[in-house]
Amino acid sequence: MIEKNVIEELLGIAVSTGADFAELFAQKERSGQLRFISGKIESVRDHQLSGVGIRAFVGAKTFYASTSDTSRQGLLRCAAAVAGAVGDGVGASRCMNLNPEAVTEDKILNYPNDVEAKRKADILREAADAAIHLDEKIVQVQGTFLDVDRRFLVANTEGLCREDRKIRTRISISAVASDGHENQSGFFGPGAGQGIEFFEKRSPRSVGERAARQALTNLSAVYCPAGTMTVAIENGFGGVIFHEACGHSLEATAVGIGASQMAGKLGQQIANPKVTAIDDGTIAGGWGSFSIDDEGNPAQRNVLIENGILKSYMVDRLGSRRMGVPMTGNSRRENYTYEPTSRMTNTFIANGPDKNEDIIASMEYGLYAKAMGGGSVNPLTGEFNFAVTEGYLVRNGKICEPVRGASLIGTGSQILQDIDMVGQNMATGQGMCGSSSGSVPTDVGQPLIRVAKITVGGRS
Amino acid sequence: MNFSEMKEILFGEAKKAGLTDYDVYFRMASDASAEALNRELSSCTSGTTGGISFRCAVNGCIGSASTQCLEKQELIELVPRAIANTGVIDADETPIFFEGSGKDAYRKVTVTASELPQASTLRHAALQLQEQLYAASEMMTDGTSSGAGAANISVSLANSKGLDLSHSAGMSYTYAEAIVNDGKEPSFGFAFAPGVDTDGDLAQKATAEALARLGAGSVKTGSYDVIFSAKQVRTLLSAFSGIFSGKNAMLGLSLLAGKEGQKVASDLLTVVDDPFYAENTMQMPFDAEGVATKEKNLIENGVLQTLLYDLTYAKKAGKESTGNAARGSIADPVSISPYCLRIAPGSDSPDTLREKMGNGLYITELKGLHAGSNAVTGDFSIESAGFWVENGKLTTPVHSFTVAGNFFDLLKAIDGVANNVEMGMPSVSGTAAPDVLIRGISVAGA
Repeated sequence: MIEKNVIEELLGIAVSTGADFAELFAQKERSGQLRFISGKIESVRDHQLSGVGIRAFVGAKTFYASTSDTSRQGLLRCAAAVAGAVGDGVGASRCMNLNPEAVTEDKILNYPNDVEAKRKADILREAADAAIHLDEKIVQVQGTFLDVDRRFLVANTEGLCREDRKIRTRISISAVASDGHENQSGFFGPGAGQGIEFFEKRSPRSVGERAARQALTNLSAVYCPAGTMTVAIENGFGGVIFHEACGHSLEATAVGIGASQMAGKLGQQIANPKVTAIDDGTIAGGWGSFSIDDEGNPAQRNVLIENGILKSYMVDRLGSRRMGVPMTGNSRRENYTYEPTSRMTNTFIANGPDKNEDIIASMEYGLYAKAMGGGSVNPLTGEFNFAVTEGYLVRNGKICEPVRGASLIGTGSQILQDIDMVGQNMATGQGMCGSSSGSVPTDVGQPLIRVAKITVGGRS
Repeated sequence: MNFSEMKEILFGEAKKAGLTDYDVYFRMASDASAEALNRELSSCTSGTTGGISFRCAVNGCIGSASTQCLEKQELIELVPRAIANTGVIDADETPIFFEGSGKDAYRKVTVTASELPQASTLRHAALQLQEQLYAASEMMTDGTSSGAGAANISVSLANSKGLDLSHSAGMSYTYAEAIVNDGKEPSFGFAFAPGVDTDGDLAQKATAEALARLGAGSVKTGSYDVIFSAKQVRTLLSAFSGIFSGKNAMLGLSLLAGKEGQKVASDLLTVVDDPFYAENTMQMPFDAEGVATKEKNLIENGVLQTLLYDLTYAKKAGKESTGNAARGSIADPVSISPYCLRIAPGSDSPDTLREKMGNGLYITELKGLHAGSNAVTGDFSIESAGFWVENGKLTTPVHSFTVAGNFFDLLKAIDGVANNVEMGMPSVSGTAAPDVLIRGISVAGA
């Protein structure tokens, strides 16, 4: 992407004024997006992202500059901006000879860029048509087909020089059902770290139908009652509860500066013993997987919580400096305009000891959250929220009528103790996670779980 | 390469390819910031990002392609890429490339862009604020951060009809995030202000907010009168801004469809879409299709006056474009978006509004609206925090509860609008709003 000697020159400039470490991240990313609405492919996005970010450290202080101008002049300006920001010291450190390694890449059968846009459009139409034709109450269907071909090079003054290529494909359908008075919506958006072969196992039709069914269910639903109750949360995207309630609080981004409810709790029992939670960036074809992270470290499988005991944080290079612990292969950024920081990859609660049928049967009264939307958290206090996009009331161990408009809120430390049943149908769901280094693809996951009590935000 | 050189290359290629309808959209952004943490400088950043997009019409279909790599060969390839992309679009109406609104139609902005501040100025501001934060309370603790930054953006748009427009805008800011700990629990407060001087009370404001939140209690599930703070009214307005899109209305994605001229909100509510709001440094004289922008009332004393249109959806609806065509980035297709969406001030002071409410909740925090609100249905259920108001006075803090309802019902349930209009972070599509009183909203708590 950039010549070895040029990278060495740039890193040399970046450490010339007193920095003890410098890193260069060069990215080229081709992405495409088709949008469908009102029965038609409405627009095409076809974008080439291209640029470089250079970062220097002085202890735990960071200095970062980025540019889309990758001409020699532009790169030199970028390196000089970093050196200028570091100060007017004299460089004691220097750039070691770089040792470029072979490009790492997943096995992709069908690269999106090699596939005609028409074929992608056909896949999107098939999904959207399935939603439109499911029921006459479906009045609007929107869809997107997204593919990303992300290539980057990362090199640093310790001699690391690695390149990676990552393919991602995703389809999403959003359906609106109407009875003439009210509108309700449904959404489904599966994706993977795969090429077009992703659709061999995931039929576009099933995606459209699932979104449309959810919209129809919500149209027949009554408003969810408000209050504290027992809640069973289904597998797949239900795992967003762990992502928000606990995951962000285990990132060095928050832990490293002491702004996390989980700081200083390694080795402590922070969750119910039935809870084992894992962040695994190595899952083949995973939406949140990669070969190397955005600092060049190989992806890892990190057990975060084992039988309720906190085992590990997720740590990037800056976090490692701040916390004095090793890096864990979790450094990520949306693109070169962001400094990387510690982020989740594919994060999930592992299968537990309880049978799924026993979980529902155990509930006298409560909420069964079949599908979840996104959420957010304040890592400092652990206060989190997330939305239920398809829910049902449970009475006497039976799933009853659908309810809508619910959200779940609580604090991470409390909810982890209150997860008192963990089922056995672990599955993941795909999302985009936003944080200080931008929006990155992450998988969330879990089996069906029961939370003994949680505040359900509905209408009283 | 500057814009006119890039334009020349792209226009030349377009003509060679036999195209008659096309445009070129260029955007260059630069930014700089400094942040301090735990009493020390923690990071300095700067960036420059440029990109260009080429759009064209072939057989009534719009295709486009964009790149951040501004080299000649890459630009030349944009044209065939865009042409190829027209092949997958389902033809709609003939795409419109605009001749321009006429020279005098483009209003002058009241704030012009200036150079980015020096890095040393930003560092100084970040560190000054850090000092002020730690001086403001003995309970200040690790994680307390502050910063200063600035950004400039310039856009240029030229098309085959002879349109050739350029504009630059800029913004700068300081912020302070206080984290205090009373030995029992941490609490935080955040404040920001436009500009990079630190003479104001930013650190004090953030600290006061963090201290006021300590020892927050719970709320019992029930129905309450609430006042949303100005900041949270902005949050709601931003989350539901899509309801004003004429495109969404036509496609069944906004419940304001067909309601122009009808009463949709309380008499007390006037919502203005204002590309030239004086408090906003990011003003925009033309939209992403080159149409002159203008200030207009969307809701006036509760009556819906107009929705927002670009050229395509204005034509479909038999209206004029309102100058609200937008492109989120150079890669994005044209969509419809408001500029600074602001609620006109009412007559009551915030204190008077609380007195008017008597007893209820003052909501100062709403979280996770991207998930907890649905602009299509209007439903929301949102994690909240705030204070009790008893006999018109703010008393104790409360947290860990949700407020739930429907935005369209909420608009009608407004029973008071204060006069304290506050602008959010300067942005081409920002928000400004005062405190607003709503009667009877569902709250889920302990």
